[in-house]
Amino acid sequence: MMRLIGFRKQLIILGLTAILVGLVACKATSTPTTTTTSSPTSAPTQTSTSPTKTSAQSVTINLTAQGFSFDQNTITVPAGTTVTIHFTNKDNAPHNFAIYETAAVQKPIFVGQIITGPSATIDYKFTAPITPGTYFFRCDVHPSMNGSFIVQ
Amino acid sequence: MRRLRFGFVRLLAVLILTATLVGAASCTASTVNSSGVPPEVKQYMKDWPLPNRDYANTRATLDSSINSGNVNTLGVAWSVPIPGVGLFGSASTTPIIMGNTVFFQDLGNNIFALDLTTGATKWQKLYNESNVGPNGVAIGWGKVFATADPYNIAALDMNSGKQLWLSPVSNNPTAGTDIQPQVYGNLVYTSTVPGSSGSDFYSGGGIGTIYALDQATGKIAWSWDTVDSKDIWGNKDVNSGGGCWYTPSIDTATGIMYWGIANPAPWPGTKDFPNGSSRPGPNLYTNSMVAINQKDGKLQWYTQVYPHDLFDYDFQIAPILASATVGGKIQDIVISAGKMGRVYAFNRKSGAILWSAVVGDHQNDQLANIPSEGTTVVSPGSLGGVETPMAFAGGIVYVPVVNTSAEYTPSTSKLGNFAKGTGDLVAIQVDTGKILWQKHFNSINVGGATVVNDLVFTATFDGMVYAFKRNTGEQVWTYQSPGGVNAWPSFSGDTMLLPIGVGGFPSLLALRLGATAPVLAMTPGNGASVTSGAVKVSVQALNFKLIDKLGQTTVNGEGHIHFFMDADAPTTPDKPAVTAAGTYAATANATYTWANVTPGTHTFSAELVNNNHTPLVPPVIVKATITVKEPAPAISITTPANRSTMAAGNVAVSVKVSNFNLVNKLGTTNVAGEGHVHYFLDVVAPTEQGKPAVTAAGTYAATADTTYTWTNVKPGTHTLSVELVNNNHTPLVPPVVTRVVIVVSTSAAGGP
Repeated sequence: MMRLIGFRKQLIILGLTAILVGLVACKATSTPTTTTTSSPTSAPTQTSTSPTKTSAQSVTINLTAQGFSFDQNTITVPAGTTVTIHFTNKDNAPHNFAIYETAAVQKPIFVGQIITGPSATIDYKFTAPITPGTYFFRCDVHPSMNGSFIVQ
Repeated sequence: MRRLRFGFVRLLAVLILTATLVGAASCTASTVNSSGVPPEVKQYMKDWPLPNRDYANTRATLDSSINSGNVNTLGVAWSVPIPGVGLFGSASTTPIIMGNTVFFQDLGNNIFALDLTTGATKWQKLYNESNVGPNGVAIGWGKVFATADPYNIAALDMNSGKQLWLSPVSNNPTAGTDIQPQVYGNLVYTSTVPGSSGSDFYSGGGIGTIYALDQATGKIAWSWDTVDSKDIWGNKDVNSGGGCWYTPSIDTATGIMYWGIANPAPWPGTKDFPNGSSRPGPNLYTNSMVAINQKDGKLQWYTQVYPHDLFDYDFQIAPILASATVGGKIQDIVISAGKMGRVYAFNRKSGAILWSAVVGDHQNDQLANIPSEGTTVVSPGSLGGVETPMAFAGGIVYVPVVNTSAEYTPSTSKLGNFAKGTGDLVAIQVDTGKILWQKHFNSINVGGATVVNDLVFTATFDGMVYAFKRNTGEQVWTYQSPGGVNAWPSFSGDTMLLPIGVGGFPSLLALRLGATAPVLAMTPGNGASVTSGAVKVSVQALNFKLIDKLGQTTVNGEGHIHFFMDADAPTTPDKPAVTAAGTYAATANATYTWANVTPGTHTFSAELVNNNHTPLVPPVIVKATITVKEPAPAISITTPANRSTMAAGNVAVSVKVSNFNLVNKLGTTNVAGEGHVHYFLDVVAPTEQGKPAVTAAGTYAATADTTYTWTNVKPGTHTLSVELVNNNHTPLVPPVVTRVVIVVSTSAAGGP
């Protein structure tokens, strides 16, 4: 039996942001599609969060927790995309999905609601960071379940 | 095992024997009980009357009929589904066996009394309070003792399950109790740990305390803090620690009890206090063996095995009493182990360490400070080492081991996925501390060790159960159970009880010599409550193959399921087991979902049938009466987030409420489905039925608003609780309450 580590969050960031309202979500693969931004290293622009953006910037990922493990170690999404994590919990235990800047778990990017299986599902919706890089995802209840959240 | 001696001078004027002891009242018909052992424990000594079988915590029985000659005939006799869910699944305990009754608690704190022969429920008490575990029951003086919720211990009548008393053991919201208790000397022993749920562990100010409660009334007879300083090693706002997770042993000849104490926190440190610098020094009595007088809680001796721990290395395993010849001298010893992956033997009188043995993988586990450059890999990880109870017999202690690693910086830790770790079972000679043999597994060993005659049993997280010849380590039997195992078996007669706590169908399995008949289990179980609309029923079929050959010829040992709702399952042989259209469904799937089920009481059944739909002979049916309700009221805290940091001053709490009408009718008559919110600060939210949920002035607020602001909140760790209450301020039944822990700092929140 493991006890949770007492990390201190220095920022409070709400999981859902106002820009989700009005965006059209459509299913896409996790590999980046052609976008209107020039390259992954370009500086973040205001237009990536504009509700008037014409091409849909959204992606849906299926993620399952079973046997106290996620079925993926790495999740990759385009920068600034609307991300839907369709999360299935097959364990008779509480799990969630949460993203932080780093494994130090100081700065949350998205913290999903905890759900208890063995047959529970939830859709988490949030916006991927605008800055490309490798972030850190984990189950807050069982932090040894974790992986890399790569933004390209 | 030591013989009992009537060494107690304490005389009771009247021995109150409950008139309804389970089984024959064959206990000594004396009006004076001069022994501390409860009559039931004496009566059922040959079964499994205590958490680790006896007061020495040996987890060894020579009274069962299971041995290496017949263990291969063990088969499933019955399976009872486990409804409760905690952080690590549904069960982390050892079932108690007294005669033909099994007493068991799940990780929802639900308590069951079952018939050992058939698995039929005699009674159940559903608390539905998630428990981190390990937990469980202890029986004595006609009562069943267990945690009811993180803050209270309950005593139930052992024949009816009726709650006799409920006793609070914590008024600190971030200190809660798990632990399977101990019973002796008219006292019930338990302990708190520095956390009440998965979300508030190691909040500043939480310490573990050992309690002895009067078994008749629940009143606290004595308590003993496992942290040696009131200011928690110099920083009450940041530090926490201590507590006990497993049942103590008792030397009934001397009245001394032995407890293993857990770790200090924060670990490995924080940004402001790296490498545990908020708690300089050894941090007593963490990671220590302590010897305490059972009567008055006076400390006899302590020996710390791992000071100033940075790695969550509890010394928590249930201590085992034995005797050993060490250095040519026979002496009474006590043995324990912990997550640091080491086993220690102490002289029982003085606490002197006689030997220690290293088990499992080790790397960087003795560091006094974590280097500030890069990350340091440490084994065992924070879920590792010896996690579950050992066993002792014939001069050998059997040690289950978890191999994981974690990456550390001076203020952070990242545990490797424990579900992908490996395990060991290690046999150590207690005269010398030498490893005699060991076995390695490709899954972590959280299945404890248990000795039965010439065998030692263990199990791994992936559900594999093993039996080895205990003298040689020769593997004699394996069994892939239908789920994962992080609980520990008990044995009586020809039966092994094994909780399968992890997986899609958690259940308590009874394995019995020669059992081959088909077995069926179903959830939801009798007495469950589900939400109206779609009701999903799941079954587990064992010793029987579910196959889609509906309508074809009967083949022995295979078939499918007939699900029934509000109709009796037919049992006439050779007649298809069908009822009116709409009341049954035939499928080879293990689940079926009934649509549009209306609120009210319904009966759900499942039956094993042959390919041609006819019942088995004898029929195999499971039936449950279930209450279908409208969706239950719920409350969650939307802000602040758990464990967030904010500036001193005002703290606003916002909640989300569903399936409940918030109305401004405070203090008026109750109306079902409506009420308001009580907000609490730094107190345990009262949940006692029928009593207004109010605490001291200034610590609670009552309002129908979904937000409340606490003013002038001082720096430090604070618990914010919220509870839905009726118009007249009383809690809902069951209570609807939740909490978050925050840290208020002197500097402004935010920043890098």
